[in-house]
Amino acid sequence: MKSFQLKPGFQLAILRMGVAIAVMLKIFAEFNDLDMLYSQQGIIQGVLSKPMAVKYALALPLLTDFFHIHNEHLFLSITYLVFGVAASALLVGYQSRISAFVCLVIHMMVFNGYNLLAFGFDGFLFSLLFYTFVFPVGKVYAVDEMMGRTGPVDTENLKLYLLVLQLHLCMVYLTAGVSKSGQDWMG
Amino acid sequence: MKNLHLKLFFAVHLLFVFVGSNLFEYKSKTIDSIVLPYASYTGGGFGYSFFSPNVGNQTVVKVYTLKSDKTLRQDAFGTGTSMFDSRFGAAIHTFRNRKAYELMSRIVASYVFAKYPGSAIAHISVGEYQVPTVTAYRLNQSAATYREVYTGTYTQ
Repeated sequence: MKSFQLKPGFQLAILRMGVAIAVMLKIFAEFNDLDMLYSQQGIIQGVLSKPMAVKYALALPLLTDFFHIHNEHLFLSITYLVFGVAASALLVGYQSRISAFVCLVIHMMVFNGYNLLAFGFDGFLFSLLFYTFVFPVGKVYAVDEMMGRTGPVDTENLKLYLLVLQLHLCMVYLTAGVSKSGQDWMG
Repeated sequence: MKNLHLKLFFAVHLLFVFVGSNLFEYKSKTIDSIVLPYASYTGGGFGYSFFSPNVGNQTVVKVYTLKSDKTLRQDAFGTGTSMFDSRFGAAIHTFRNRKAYELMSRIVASYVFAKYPGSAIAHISVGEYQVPTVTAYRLNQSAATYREVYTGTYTQ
């Protein structure tokens, strides 16, 4: 009996699926409160978000102003529907890079526009979406792979991708550890 | 060397992550002008202060609304019971001054008035739960105390 073996680079598939599920949970948790959370008449009103906006960042309030969008409810609903479709495509690995890019851009706009409402989850999701976009996550256990659109994962590059993730996580924990060693925390 | 460009790209990316993690303090606007735009497009270069030590006290908003049927309804925001509530909690946690609390209270008042049509008066109390220090905790003085930082009554 042949034992089950995971394909090389299965870690990339786990990353892709995990990020897609996290995005879908975020959408599910926020969809009914989009107006209160991310419109200019919501918790963070234009009077607060506009002075805090920076020119270089792609942000949701700047976009609604730039395109003179008056029906924010419709705009946010459509944006989140696109977000959901892209996350679903990412989950199954269909057009993985494009799906990851769409998810990254939408999350980026929301994060940059309303970072007063953000917490640790959003920061990590942002970083992981970036890695999902950059890494070849559609090469393993993906529709893209089944359709023959991609080649196999380069094993040397795979080591590099995993090393990057490990180093990033090490920095997070190192930062937290060093901060906690101070008197403020210990006392 | 194989894939030198890829390795260089990730090395630079991780450098941004390291600089932005606030492991060491710097006061350079030049560095900020590079790190912050990079972070706003990649997510790499933000601090991780949510782990420590800048975890402040839990701030909550208690709302008492007199509904149209003359019953009193009590709501609390910032307790983390839903995504909306968690995000609201993050916002009230960020602003720690009277003007901001007043502004947030007005937003909460308009929210509850929309939530309970016909209601006329909402009393809002913003406060924070102050946890004891580790030293006090070790001496069994472990109870968190609620300290009101702002209060206001709003009418439609």
